[in-house]
Amino acid sequence: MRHLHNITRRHPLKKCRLLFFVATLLAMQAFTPNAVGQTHTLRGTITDRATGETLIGATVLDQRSGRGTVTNAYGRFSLTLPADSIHLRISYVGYSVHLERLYLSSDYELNYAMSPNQNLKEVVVTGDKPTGHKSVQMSAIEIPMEQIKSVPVLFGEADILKAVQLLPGVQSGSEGTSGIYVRGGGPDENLFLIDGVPLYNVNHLGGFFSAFNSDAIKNVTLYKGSFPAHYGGRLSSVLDVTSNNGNDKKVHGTGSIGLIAAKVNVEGPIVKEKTTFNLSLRRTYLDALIQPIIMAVSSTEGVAANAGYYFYDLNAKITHKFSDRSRLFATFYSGDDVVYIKVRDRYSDNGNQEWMKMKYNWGNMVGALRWNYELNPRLFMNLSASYTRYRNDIGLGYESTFNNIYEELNMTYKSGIRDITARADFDLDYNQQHAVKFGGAAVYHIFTPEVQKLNFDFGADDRLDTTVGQSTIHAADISLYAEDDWTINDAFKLSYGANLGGFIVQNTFYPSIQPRLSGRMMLTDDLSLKAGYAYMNQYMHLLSNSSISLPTDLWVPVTERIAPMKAHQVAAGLFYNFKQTIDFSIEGYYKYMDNLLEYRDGASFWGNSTGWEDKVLMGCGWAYGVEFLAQKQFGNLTGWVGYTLSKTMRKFDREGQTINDGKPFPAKYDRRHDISIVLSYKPSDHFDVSATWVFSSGNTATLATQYVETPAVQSYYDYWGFDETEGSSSTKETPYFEHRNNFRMPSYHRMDIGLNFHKQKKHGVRTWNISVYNVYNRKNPYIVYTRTVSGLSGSRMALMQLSLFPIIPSVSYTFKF
Amino acid sequence: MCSCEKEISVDDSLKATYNMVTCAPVSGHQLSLIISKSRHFLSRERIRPIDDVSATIRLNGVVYPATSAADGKYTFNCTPQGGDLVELLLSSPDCPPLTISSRQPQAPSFEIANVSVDSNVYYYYYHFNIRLNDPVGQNYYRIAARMATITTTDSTIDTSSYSIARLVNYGTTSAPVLSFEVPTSSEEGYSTEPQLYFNDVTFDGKSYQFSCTIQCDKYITRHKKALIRLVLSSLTRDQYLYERALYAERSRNHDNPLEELVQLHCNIHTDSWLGLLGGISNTSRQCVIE
Repeated sequence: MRHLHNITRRHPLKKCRLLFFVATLLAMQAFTPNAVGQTHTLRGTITDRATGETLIGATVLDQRSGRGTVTNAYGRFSLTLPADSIHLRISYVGYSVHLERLYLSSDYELNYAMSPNQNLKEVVVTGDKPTGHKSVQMSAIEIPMEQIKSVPVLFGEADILKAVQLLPGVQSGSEGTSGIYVRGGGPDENLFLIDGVPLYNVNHLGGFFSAFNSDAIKNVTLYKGSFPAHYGGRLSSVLDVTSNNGNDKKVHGTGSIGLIAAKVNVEGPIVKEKTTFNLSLRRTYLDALIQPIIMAVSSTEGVAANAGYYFYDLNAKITHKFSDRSRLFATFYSGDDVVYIKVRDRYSDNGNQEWMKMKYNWGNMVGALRWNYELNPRLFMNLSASYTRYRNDIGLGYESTFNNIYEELNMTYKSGIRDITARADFDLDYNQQHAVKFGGAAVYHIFTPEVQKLNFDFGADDRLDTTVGQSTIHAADISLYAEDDWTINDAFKLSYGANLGGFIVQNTFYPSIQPRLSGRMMLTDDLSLKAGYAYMNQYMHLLSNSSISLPTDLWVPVTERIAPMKAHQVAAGLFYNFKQTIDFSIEGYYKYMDNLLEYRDGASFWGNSTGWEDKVLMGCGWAYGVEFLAQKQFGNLTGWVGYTLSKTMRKFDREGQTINDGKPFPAKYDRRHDISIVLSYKPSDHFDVSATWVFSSGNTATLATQYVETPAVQSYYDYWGFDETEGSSSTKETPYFEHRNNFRMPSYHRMDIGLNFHKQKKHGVRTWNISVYNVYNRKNPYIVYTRTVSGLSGSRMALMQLSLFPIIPSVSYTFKF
Repeated sequence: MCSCEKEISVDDSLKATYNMVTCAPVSGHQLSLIISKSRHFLSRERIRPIDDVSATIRLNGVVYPATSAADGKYTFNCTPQGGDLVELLLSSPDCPPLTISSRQPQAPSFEIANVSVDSNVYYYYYHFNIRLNDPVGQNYYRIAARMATITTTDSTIDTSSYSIARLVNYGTTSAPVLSFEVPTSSEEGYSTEPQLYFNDVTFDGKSYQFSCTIQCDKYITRHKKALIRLVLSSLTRDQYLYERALYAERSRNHDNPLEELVQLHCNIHTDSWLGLLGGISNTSRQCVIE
């Protein structure tokens, strides 16, 4: 320093140059990613040691610097750390913690396979998981698949959506159905993704089962608010489901048979530790069992008949690892519900006969190709192309031959939606403070709201071949997004971003800028305060009158007249992690929605989409509430307790589009209280028991509570003569109700129990599952209506409720090899 | 799966009944109203008229008590006109009094123009235009059409066998069908109503003009010449919403559980009273088309 002083005193010009050089050097360091000392990037893949499956959301933490990250949807992580010794901790719920020390002198690739361990004595950093208290993400819940599979459900079929319905902030629709209503939103406001590809109808059998086969699924995360910027297109929730890649070491499989369906899952390597496959098939089998009975009974009536119903799901996935930096995934899903009837009647012996057949099928098909590539140690890229199709087809056919004269009639009804999507996503570990995600997607939609074809041939002069209905509607959906997870300091973390997009349909362009913001402040090491804001747009609607999912539910796009739905949501909450074992959260939210649709009085969409824009009204709605959740994810006892206090209202007051004279009214699934208790206890490897108890305030219903006298309006003119006069003496009873959804049904509650008995066999593990749905046989209301009842004092009118499911025991057998 | 049925106990508040009032004054006609007792949804009693209500009309400040009350119908010795303020005062021994007021709409002014007729093998088509004149302050309308035959031998107009033109073919193939072409689609959509309802929202501006066609089966008219009578009514907003709801309720399919129920519009809703105070003013025009 002294030497330096002498130089500058004797040579002022050199002093300036030196200062300039130092300042420039400092400036360069300040504005380059490696501003504070030398840093390097540690990157790699975290997998399951036994199966080779990548682990999503595993935590990789440097205990010295406190800097950490979580693995992405492909099990990859990238962490920029100072060039120094690091004390690495790798952890994941249900797995043994891995500790490792190393000196980071250059960019380093670290792949680690973790060993499962449910009975942990070591501390697991549950707070660092993507939805933990230290994460900036709020309003999101990750449910381990083991917990989903242990939740006892209807007919013993483990179901992801039934488990999701047990979470706070999520209401179920009607008894037994899979529809979800998240924070006051409707069933069409939820985005269901399977490996990043949307599914449009996720229900089988009217919604009693979902389209997700739990054996094929690896990870389920539900977002109810504070949506990351890369999600868009729906107002209320995103259910991100990732399927299994397949065991990369040896072939494994599971087969199970229950009351309703049989399932088989096979996974394994095609090329060991390089190429894997995973194949799952589920199918109901009751139709196969009762077909012989139908045929035998019908033959006694002189006809040959065949009828039945079934559904199936097929999941297939192939994963190929080119290198640690490059992987290719091919995913396929197909699921259908099929109702069929065939009858052949032979009513004479001279070859005369009649054929009648009907086939009704609806379902999804998805195909996707994804390629992960690490462009450099900090930049991860995913490119994907996908095709998704939902269709709903009814076919009716009739053929007859009578005295050698042939006649036929065929009618088909088709509706559906197809999407072709191209997508690019990038994860950039910019520096120690910033982790950036950006990308874009282009989706080409083809809507077929309804097309009917009719052709008949009844002879030379009596033929017809025609098509009626709404032709296809083409639309394009383009979006770009960027978001930054900014670690300001140990206490503050901020995530900010935006989704910019637009929707083009019928020569109309709907642009949107959807900002997203969330922040986290650590109050103590175990307690954090979070807040978030999200603005969402939705460009399509589900037309449905009923409370259960019907195949005739139609997806239609926004149009020139029907604007996109919009929602602003703010949320704030406290998140506490108790001794690294139990996560507590209390979260409040307010959501305002605009351009919601409700049907006009008297409207119905049963099998008729023509002119649907004239049958709906546009208005707004709001929902607010408080959610409490306590969740334990490992140990002998796991599960969660959730409680929601909420209110959801609608208001339709635009001129010419009023409901309830423009005054607010409760939304269809406005339920004040919702409680869920889900517990699973596993004292040993041979036995585990689980139980759920749910309670919710009654559903709303529109019930005419008064009958009033009104003029028989048609007689205004019918009986007044040609020279019109007003007034008629003829009257009629008219039902009256104060407002839509004016009646509150009795509350809903039930308890379910499931028992699993495991035994190691020579080639695998067998499990007997015994479960009981609605243990105390609660008669929960499904619909309400009035009818006459007879009693000792005569007959009277009574308000009745119909319950759907009493106590239902079920048993299933599973073999895992 | 099996189902279970159970009776639900009903809170007494749902079993309350109301005095239902229907008062739709028509300008130029003697004012009357109807009062009846509603029945709650679990009651099997018939709806009964109420004759012991003290009913008074104040027309532009002048008081008119009811001159007669029988079978629930109350008449008053007054005739409202367009622009009049009609106040209704009701009191009953067993419930608090009710006061409500409404201003009568002005009668609309319109003309029929460009009349013509053409035909094919099966139908006559009677075309004409309707033009509304400066409907200041008038926002809600109803239009209805009747058609009477004219014999070609002596040009006698036989109004005893008139037909009501409906917006769509109502049941029989022989009923005349009235269609309107309006600048933007009517918010009513397609229905079997015998009249068209429309309001300011239907038109971009205040110059209302639209063309109409009555399609009539030749079997009905037999003759090309016809007398068309149009009645254009200005309604108060409440009258408009009430009639629309009533028609929607009449025309819905009560056997379809998937159809939305129809809410009857009422501008009278207290703990004891329910119903409508509306208002109607009519203008009629007729023309011969041949």
